[in-house]
Amino acid sequence: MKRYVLKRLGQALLAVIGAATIVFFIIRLSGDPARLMLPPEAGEDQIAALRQSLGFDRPLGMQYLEYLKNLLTGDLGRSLYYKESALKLVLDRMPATVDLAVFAILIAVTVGLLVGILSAYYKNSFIDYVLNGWIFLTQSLPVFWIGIVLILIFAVNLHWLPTSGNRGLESIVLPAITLAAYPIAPIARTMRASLIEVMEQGYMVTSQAQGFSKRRRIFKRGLKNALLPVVTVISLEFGVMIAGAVVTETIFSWPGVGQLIIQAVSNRDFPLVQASILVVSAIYIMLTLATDLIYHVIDPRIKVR
Amino acid sequence: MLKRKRWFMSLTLLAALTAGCSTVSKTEPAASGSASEPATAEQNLEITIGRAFDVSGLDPGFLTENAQVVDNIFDTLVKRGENEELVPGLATSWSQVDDKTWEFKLREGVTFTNGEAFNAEAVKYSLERVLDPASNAPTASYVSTIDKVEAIDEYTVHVITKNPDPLIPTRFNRYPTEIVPPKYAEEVGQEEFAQKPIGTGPYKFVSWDKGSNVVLEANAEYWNGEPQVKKVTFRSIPEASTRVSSLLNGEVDIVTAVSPEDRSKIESSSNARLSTVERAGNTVYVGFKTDVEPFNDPKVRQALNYAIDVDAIVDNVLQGAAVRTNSLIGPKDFGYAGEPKGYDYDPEKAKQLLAEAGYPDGFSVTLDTVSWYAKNTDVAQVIAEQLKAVGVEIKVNNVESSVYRTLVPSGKQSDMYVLGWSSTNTLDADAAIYAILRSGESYSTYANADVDAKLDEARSSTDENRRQELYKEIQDQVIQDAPRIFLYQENQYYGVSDRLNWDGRVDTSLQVSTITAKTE
Amino acid sequence: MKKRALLRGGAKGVVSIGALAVIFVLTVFAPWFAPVDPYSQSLKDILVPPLSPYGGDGGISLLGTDQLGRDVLSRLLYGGRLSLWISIVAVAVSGVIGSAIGIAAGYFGGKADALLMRLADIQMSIPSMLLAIVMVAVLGSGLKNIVIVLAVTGWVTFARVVRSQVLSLKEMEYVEAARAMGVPHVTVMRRHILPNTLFTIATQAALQMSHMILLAAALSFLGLGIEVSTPTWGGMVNDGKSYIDSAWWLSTLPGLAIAFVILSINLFGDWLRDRAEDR
Repeated sequence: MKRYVLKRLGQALLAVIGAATIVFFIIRLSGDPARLMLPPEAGEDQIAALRQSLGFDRPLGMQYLEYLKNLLTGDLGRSLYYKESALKLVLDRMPATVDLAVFAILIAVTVGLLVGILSAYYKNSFIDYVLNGWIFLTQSLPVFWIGIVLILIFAVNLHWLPTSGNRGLESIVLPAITLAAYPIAPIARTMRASLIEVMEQGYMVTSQAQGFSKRRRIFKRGLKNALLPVVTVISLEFGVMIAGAVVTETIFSWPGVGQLIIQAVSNRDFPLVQASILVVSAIYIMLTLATDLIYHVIDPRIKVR
Repeated sequence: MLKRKRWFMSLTLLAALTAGCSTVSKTEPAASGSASEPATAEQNLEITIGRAFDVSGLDPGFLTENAQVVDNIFDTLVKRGENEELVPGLATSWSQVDDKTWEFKLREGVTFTNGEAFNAEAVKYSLERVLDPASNAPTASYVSTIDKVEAIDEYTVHVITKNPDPLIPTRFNRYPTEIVPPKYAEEVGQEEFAQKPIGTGPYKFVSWDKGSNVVLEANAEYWNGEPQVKKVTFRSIPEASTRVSSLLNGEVDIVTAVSPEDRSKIESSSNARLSTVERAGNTVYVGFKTDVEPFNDPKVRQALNYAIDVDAIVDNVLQGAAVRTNSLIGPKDFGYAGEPKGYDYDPEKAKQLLAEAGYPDGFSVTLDTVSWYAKNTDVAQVIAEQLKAVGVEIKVNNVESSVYRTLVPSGKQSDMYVLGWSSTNTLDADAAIYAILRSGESYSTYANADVDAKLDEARSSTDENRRQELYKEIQDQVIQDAPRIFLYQENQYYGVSDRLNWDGRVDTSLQVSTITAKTE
Repeated sequence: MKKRALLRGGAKGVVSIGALAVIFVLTVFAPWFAPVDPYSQSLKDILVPPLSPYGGDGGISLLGTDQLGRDVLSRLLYGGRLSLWISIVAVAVSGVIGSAIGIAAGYFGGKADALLMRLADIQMSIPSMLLAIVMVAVLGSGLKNIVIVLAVTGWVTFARVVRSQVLSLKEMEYVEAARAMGVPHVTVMRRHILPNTLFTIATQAALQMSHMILLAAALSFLGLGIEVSTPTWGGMVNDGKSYIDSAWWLSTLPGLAIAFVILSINLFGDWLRDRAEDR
């Protein structure tokens, strides 16, 4: 187990460097930050001078080697726009991002599992249809629609909650609900499908008039198997919330990592893009590791090696 | 610090579940409720302003965005009065000594908020650090005509330009010419200065929570009197509809960049009003690459001007959020010569001109558009529909804004493209048209030797009458030559709480010191 | 009780097949059903609410008009074509690639698993907006490019979910037996693993549809792909964004249309599954 985790951490390091490398090159395909940092009136000579002082006029290979060298010493560079440590900028935004993602995933998991269990239990009944209709509606309405409508109802009309910003518990309610709306459907559907499968397995075994103990064993094993996809979906959706909550963050002016990345991309703030994707990929890899360990806990036959 | 540690712990899902809960409940209780609390006494007026963007730095010499926030911390030598006229700021007077030399007499007895004295050396330092090629100041081009600044005595400076520059007083009104304290700036260095700025302005910097807000407090010793608003928070609320909602919900007192669709919400609100600034935004046009067929023929360009019903676009698509204009220069700009006669909507004439130019059956072309302008895709689609009526097939291509910003200056946009321009930096015709009409400029797709000569002369002449005359001539010539489809200039809208007196300005500045409480 | 449920289960098949057939016919033959040209603007009739007169000749607009006076019903019918087409292609491509990767990773485990899953982690951490911008900057816009971005961002979900199921499937006795007997890996995966993951794949595919429709529209806003006047459901939803409280029908109706399609597809999937289990 310990060896496994250590091995995975080693892999993680390689994967993070892989992500950094890919981003390093594709962001450079997307355009020139010098042009974007200067006002439209700036002349070509001024742009060239800035490009040179930023070091972006050097051969790509040289830039990459230097980047790797700095990376190994823990230096992720400085943001071109904010003129300070790119890593610090990303880490400063992390608490807000984690807060929002945790609240949202709690809502999505609670509602999703409940809906999934209910609709599996009352399969093909009225309740099943109503619940399914509802979750597909929340999944198909775009995030901004839900966010704007929630603001109009609960902030502008009822004055119960603030419209935006990160100022304590009451300000997280609306963005968390908005962010939770989409993943409810995948969680509930996966849960429903898995549960039905298990229930059917149990039924099949009964019909074959086998012993009670074996039926229970299969049911238990079946449920465990069935939970694996659910856990996977939850971890995937949680991962998306870490860096992909851009629309929610924008609507509620929530100062999270998603917005930071998008701004950095549109400014071509190379160091900041690289640093944020490095951090995000590290989080994803840890999340996958945690998920794989949970698999093992759920179903010990899945070997950890 | 505690927070940081907590999030590292929460890297695994389970830990995150518990850690997340505890961070939220403790997040910044201090930041809560500034705007929603009513001003108890007039002496303690605190307001919040909702803007679309956070700042990326607070050093006026090195901004990559506009100076709305920093202009409250710093002063310029020259300011603008109520009607946008130039009035004394940190300079009490200015005059031209010779063709290339301007003299500024400085205000005496002014200090920076850290106690440093304001004097000629400070002016010299502030300008030189921007002009130094090694510092790569983003807005260096705004002052690139300046050769050097000389301190004549404690309170007199001479600004010497490379060539005659009539715009020197205007340039000393806007960034990057704000005056910074030399000692402090040297001591902390450029990057630190951008985090903790110190100026002579009506407000002092308090805090900057990146991505969220900037807080300033009144400077009690301000040379022009302590402002009424004691504390101001600039919040960034990127989503336009949320910005308006937060105004209606009483969370902020002023919002900028209200979108045209949201105007009625503010107008019908019981606690806020709409402040309209006509023609304060970009002058939007459709540009042609005039060296590419078929747009190298002026007849084609004129035809397309006749084919567009600009009034219908302004009235129906923009719902009156812009003003139709054929003028390249705004009414508040130096060089404005009234509204010239342009092209009326006349599809028949358009067809006739197209036939004369050899395109009786029209042609097809791509029109690039970009989200910088209100309802850009709607406007482009209506233009496409109207041009279709005269036989010109348009494919509308919406380009991502950061890509567009690199495409257009390198001439890689489509042969027809939407672009807007504004002169808010100097309120002068030169800023309004030089960069988009002078051949060889990166945003220009037009070449007319005669116009070029006039633009160059107007840029370097200090004779106001002569300049006025030149701009009038350029204007008439350009309308005739039609290197673009003339459309409209956008209005700007602000939402203002009923408890405040304030209105938006054409120069887009947001001077908090001019905001006062409404007395009932 | 059991009988009633089964009856409903049967009705589900009829309803879902019927609904999908109606959607298919309405969108594919949109020109026959659309009351007017979906591109035709009328600046005199902008933002006419549903069931209101317009055009000045007493005609009624069933579902209202948009901000350029175009008929929403006609745009919905035409818009379904491109939206459904793009999302089906994108889901199919990402589903096939993702499932193959997921099965291989789960089945072989070890180094292959580590490599493929770390690749998935890397993929997830690269925002689709960045990919879209790079695409626009390097290749320009085009339908093909949008499908590529969608597929490239979509495969991870399939791979991860399928892999998780394969992890437990391969521990099943019959799989182990087959392997012990020396059945080639590809055959084991095709015969014993793939069939047991099909429903999981189908469930994920149905779930990804709406995501793809909306993402395609978001990417079009970045200038990748669809021409702005071309009606698509996702594009209509986006266009209505600034009118959510003043002209609700603009983004709500296409949102409902997407929900309806997704619901029908899922019902159909459920019905297929019920049938397979009944046999």
